[in-house]
Amino acid sequence: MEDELIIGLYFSRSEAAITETEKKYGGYLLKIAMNILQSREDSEECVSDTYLKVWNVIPPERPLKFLPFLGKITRNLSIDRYDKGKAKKRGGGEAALIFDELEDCIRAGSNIEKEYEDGLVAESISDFLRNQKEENRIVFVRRYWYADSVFSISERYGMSESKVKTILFRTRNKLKIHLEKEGMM
Amino acid sequence: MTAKKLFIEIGLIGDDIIAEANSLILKRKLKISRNLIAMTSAAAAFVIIAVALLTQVRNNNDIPSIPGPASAISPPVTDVAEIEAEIIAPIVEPIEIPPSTEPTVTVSEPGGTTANPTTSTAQEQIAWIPPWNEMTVTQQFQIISFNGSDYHAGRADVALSYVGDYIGDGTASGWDVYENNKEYTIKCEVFELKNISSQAAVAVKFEGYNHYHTYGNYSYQPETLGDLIQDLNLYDNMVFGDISESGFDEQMNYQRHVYTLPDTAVIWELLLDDGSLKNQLSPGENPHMSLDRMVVGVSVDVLASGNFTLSVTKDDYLWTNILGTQKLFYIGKSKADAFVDYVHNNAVINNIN
Repeated sequence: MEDELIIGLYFSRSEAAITETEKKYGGYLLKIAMNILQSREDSEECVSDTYLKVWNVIPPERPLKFLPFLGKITRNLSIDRYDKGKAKKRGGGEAALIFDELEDCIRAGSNIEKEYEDGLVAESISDFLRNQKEENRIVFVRRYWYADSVFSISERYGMSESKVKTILFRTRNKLKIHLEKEGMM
Repeated sequence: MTAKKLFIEIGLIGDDIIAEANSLILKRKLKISRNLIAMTSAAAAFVIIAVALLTQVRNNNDIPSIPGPASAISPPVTDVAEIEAEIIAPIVEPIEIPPSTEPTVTVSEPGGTTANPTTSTAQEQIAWIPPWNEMTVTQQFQIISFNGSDYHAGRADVALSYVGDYIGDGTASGWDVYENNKEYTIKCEVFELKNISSQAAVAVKFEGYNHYHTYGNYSYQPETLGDLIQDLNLYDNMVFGDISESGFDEQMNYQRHVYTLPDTAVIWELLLDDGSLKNQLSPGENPHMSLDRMVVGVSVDVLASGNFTLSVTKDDYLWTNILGTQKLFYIGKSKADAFVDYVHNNAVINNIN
């Protein structure tokens, strides 16, 4: 079913909206949650929380792009749950590795903790990504937005793992320079 | 900035970038499919030519011909979303019959193709939008511009008794999606709604029409809960409905309990008594991410809508979509618990589904 029609079901307060969302995007959302939480049980709860959240915010919200709208909610709920939950205690799984990698983008020794208006850093990262080669941008987003493992990215795009790691390494370094230039680091 | 903070910021990147990274595999599949088609087509063409030549040779030699292979090339499967086009029943609100005098409606012709509402594929995707001439005037013109702000249509007419003084003129634009987004514009008169701030909502009468309609300002955000109550005169205008709590059980079945309070006035005491609570949201901000513990249905007749809610969230906020945009007030755990406990202990459960 088209996204517009599913959103229409939310507006008409039909519970079929949730069924249709689950049918179309359940797997996509579960993968995002699983990547971060590494636990099927926690991830399923996160995804069902996503459906409830969407049910509560549409209306009045009318998302223009339903897939990222859903994904962002699941991702945020998963990060919240990660902070509170078992994944962190178990050693963190993929999320802990990702945090380690992202340390590369943070200037060493910097103690400056600047506050930025909501979304300003994200906007700058979006601009940066839009100026990257498509392949590099997508690999970066698969790793640091979807939290895919390096192996999974390499399989998805038929690349070697070392190529994926090289792309990620170079893009992280470029991002660090970009954020420094923008005064965000 | 920490690595985790950066990870969270990356979570907020543009929707286009997120969607692109999700669909690349589909592009690749498409590429593969196209290559396959090209190869299959070439092979099929080769076989057909070979059979034709063979047939010609056989005919020339009076040898009985054999049938050629059937060409059975399937179209590529690209994306489930692209190949599905189910139609649901249109959501059609009651139609206002315009008076005999024709309104002055300006039409801009953008040119281009015209979608036929009864036959096209585009229609299948947007079937729930009625054709332009079957829409009510508020469906056609969902937004009016007045005093530098956009006001959005409520769901029904507003009674004349709510309409106050004339405060100016506005204009509205609407687009016919079946006619390549042909733009229509219409003039309107704007009136105050009695005891309601015109910063929040106004009454609108379109040129050539007799009825009044409520339009709410989507950029309006009160500073405090007290401002919201005062600006919309909620003491007089807000009616509480049933209360619900919902969630998924272990089998992923959606469960919803609906409660009725014997006296809804208690909601004022339990949730709305502190007018100094600050609104935590700005216009256009992302949805608050917490889930709801309990939701009170509310209707505000003057705003021509009965679909608003007051929600007590799991992180102890009071959230509402009154006027069609979200507002958020931190009420604290003790207040949130007190409300939920009161409902559990005093309300009648009238529905479990």
